[in-house]
Amino acid sequence: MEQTAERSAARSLNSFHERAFSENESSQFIDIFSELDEYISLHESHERTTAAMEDSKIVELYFKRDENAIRQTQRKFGKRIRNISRNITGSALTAEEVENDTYLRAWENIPPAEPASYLFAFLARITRNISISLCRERSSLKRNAVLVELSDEMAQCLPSSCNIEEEAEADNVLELINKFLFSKTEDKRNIFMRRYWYLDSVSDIAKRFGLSESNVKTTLFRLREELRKYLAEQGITV
Amino acid sequence: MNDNGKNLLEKITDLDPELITGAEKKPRRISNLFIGITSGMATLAAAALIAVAINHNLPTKPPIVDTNSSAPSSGESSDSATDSNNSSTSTSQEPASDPPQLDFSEYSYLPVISFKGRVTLGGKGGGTLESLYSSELEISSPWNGADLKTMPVYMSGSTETPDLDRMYARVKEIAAVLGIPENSLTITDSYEDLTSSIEQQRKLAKEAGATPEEIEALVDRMLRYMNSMTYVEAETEGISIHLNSAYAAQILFSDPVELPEVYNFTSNATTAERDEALSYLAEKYKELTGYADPMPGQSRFYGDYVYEADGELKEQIVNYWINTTHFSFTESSDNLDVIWIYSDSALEKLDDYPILTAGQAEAMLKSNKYDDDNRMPADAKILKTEMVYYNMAGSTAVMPYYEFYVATDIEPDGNYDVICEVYSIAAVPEEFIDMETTDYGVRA
Repeated sequence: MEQTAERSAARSLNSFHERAFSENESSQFIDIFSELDEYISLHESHERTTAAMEDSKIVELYFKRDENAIRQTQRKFGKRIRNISRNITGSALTAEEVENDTYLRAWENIPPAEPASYLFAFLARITRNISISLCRERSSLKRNAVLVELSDEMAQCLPSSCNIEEEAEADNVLELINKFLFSKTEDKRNIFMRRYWYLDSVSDIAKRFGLSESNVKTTLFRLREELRKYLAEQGITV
Repeated sequence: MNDNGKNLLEKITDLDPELITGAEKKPRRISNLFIGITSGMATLAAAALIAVAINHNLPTKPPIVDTNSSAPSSGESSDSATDSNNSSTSTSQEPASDPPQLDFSEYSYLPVISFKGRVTLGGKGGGTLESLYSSELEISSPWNGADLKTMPVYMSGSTETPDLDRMYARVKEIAAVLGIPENSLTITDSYEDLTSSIEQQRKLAKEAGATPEEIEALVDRMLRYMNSMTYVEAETEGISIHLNSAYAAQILFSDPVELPEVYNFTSNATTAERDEALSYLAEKYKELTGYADPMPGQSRFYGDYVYEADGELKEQIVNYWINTTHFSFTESSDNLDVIWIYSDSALEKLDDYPILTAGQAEAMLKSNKYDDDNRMPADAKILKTEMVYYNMAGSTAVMPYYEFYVATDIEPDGNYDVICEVYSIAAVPEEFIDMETTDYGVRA
């Protein structure tokens, strides 16, 4: 019996062509420099613990419109912000650009935002937003394909009747996802976050958690299924 | 792209800060066991080179049954049980068997295969879930279960300092075949003299307390990686040609090439129609590929391809994975927009090395040489066995592997028929591989 061939539309996302030519995106590139970052972190950690400003003090500087706020933010969070963006955009250069934009947006938004108790998360959100937007706007074929793949996976988490274009529906879903994730073990929660928030590849997650890729994929698959059922049980509908 | 999924992916930016911060911290390792090669290349290569169809002229066969080995037959069928701990295959209640004792002393003259830089994939046992169509389990490469005693092993120069002259020449050669005048090309490369940045990183690492050995190992990896990432790019109006350090070429047509309507290049083409279309393309681009005997193949991933089927069986097997040309068609108009040509140009043959039989490989994967996470279950239902070569930029040794497609109980989504877990092992026996330099994933 003739098998209908399904073409690239459905399968392009993990294209080995895409990765064969993605000289700037290999996670091993990030891996090598992460190793160096670790070395440097070891070196700098003693300075950090004694000299790093508390988050609340940094936010205070923003409120005072003291530009030292940016310097302190960069000193404390710069590397982590760049890592987030580099992971999403696949480009160290773009990550630097995103880092600068993050500081600008932080400056523009604090105040009224007062993220003293969650400054890193506040900045990380900005970084993530900018990075994803850049990937889409610049139509980077390679990173866009990764985003498409993850979007498709995310769609599996939603009951078929759900439409989160509505702001209220989206907020509701978000709150339920928070609850769902907090009900999971720490590792499962973090595996989900690394994949769908930090946009890590499966292989990077496997390395990070000391698991096989098979395990990671299965974990993610089951989490998506469980989330979908949970949302349906919570009555998420249009 | 699924809009709902896209919106959700963006919306989850606003998840609880504690979730964001919590996931940023490095976890305590769940297992101290070495998990094998896990670079981005791991995912890609394991995903990429699986279940490529050959044309109708070769017979299809069921999974291999090795009658020459003491290992259990891979043709035995037994369903895998579900493990409640997220494992898709059964956890055997009995202790794993010892690995088979094999004698390859007659080949002791062969040099040990040493990896440097980015390590070739495979050999790490289980690790990848793949969604497949049923038809993809019925097909096989030219290997088709042949009982071969040796297969070639190659060393790739793609991690060494790139030969820019040669890369430029290849790009110009491709352009010439496409009828592009050389003087209309803008050619650039990504090569950088890394001396100063490497020195800076060396200094930083030293200040951070790394030992001299650690520093040099890191610098070596960085250099090899950066060299392997060198590319040459040529552009002219409407066409760009991108060549990587493994001499794989990507040709992008910004004005897609119109194709005759008599051929069906659409996503709903039958296998026969697609093969006809591929044959047309193989002929049209014969000078580009240089293949003496192009045969159509099917890729589970982006596009369809032809490979060089000329030569002895061993050459055919290698070509099936390494000397391939892939085509991509636009979704809207089904015109040709991308051609990828993969090549063995960066490879030098090391020698013909002995290989395990498929049965011996299966026995090895089921043995206590592999830890629980990566060992193939004793009662694994093997749906297909393949011999594959991986060749990507930055790979050093290029050698054959066996891949075993084991049934899982995971329900496939979308249009796929089955989800398998893919187990891989180097076909070359371990005694010929410098295990210290590999991320091999084999543990006692």
